[in-house]
Amino acid sequence: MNRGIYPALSGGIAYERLLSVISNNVANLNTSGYKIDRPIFRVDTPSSTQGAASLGNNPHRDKFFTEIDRIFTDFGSGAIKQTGNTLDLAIEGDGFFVVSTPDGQRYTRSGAFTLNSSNTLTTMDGHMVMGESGPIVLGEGSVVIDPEGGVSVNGTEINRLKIVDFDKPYNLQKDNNNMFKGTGEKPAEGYSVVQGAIELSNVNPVKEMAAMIEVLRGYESYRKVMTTIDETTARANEIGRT
Amino acid sequence: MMRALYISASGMEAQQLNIDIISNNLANVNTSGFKKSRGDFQDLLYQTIRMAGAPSGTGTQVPAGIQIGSGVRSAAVQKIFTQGDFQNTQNSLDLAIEGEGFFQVSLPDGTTGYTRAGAFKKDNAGRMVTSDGYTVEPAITIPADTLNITVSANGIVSVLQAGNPIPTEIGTIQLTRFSNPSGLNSIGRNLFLETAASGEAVTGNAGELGFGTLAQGFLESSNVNIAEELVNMIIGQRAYEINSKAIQTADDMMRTSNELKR
Repeated sequence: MNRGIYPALSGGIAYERLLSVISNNVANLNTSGYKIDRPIFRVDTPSSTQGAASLGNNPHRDKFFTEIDRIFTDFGSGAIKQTGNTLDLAIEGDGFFVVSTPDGQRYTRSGAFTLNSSNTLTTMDGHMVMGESGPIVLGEGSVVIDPEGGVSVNGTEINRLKIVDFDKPYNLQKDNNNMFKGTGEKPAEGYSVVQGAIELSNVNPVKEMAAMIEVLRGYESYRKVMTTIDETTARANEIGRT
Repeated sequence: MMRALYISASGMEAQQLNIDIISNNLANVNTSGFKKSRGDFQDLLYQTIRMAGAPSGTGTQVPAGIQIGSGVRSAAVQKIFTQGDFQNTQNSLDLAIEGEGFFQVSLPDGTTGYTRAGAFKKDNAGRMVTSDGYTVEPAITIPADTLNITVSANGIVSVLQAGNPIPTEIGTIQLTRFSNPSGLNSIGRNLFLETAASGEAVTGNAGELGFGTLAQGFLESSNVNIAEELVNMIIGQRAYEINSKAIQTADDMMRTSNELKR
């Protein structure tokens, strides 16, 4: 039996997953603060967990499988778009806003904030945005947020946005609603907060389009491999017939 | 079945909503007191296939896991209360608010509505009403023999009556403000209603701390910027297209797999 069909199948499955990742990127083309996902493939052999496998003299050459090793989130910054809305905030440079949710603390780059009925700064889901001294309660008057994150109402500083950063490379997991979860926060440095602007998603549609073409053609090639193996096996079955 | 189909469908749905919002903004480009809206989108749940930080062997950890997202959802359609431009109309009952605040209008069901559209008229009893005939609160009745109406920046309405050279004060137009105007409920006809999210209505005189001032003979035009909306429309349309391409790719891949077994 020719087992070569299984490695080809694993490649097809990996491409199918890759398309899911690409679709999610393009679905979030207009999601503020969204960070693009890029999968990293690896070749795996069933014995690779026991020791290093080298391709050359490995007797199980037909057991090399392709799979997605990990999905790496590209934290490159998205374009900053001016909106003129007082409570739209964007971070230029590295750093995250801290949001308090019922499931614990979350981090986000999406600064489309609003107020709740008790005048507290929240996300669009109503989760409170944290300042250095707790939730940010804005009183009556005009709100000015300076580049360091200081929040002033009528010229008096009332709180300071808590902007945190993490050791790089970031080890953050995506949570839904534009948020990330992770541990090891530390105060961010060298950032500046822009009021009246939001950060757009960092998805580049051209690259995603090219990736989609690659997926489709790659998937077709794997199919060709499988068809060829199928045909070869069919020929072998015919040996001896006259 | 392929996840990509549903993920991209959510993307198309979001872009469709985005275009709906843009169309409504553009349709109201000439509506006085109209405030534009913006769609805010968020990514959906992530399916964790491999957990980051899980042990991958003795003393080693998976550095980054595999999380596959499931698309996008619309989080909010937010109204943006930036100031619209002023349009000089020379009409003495056209009022524009420069700064924060809303006019109060009493609705037929007894509740109070709020509006930024200050194109007021007189009804048969001389009361100041909106274009729909809803009276302005506090009620202002303009005497029949009025020659000239003056509204000061802080809302005092005085009239010059026939046979009297000294203007008479007939009332004050008060404004209302909210801590979170984006949380107001739009009911059409340029009217907004108070909600739990908008915060309680605070009423005061125009020109007081936090309230805007009135400009007579002006109307506030909508704050829709056509160029910006058109750019957003192009982005929305292209995003819709690329999502449909992802569906097409998924479809082509499925066709390819169907051809596997002849």
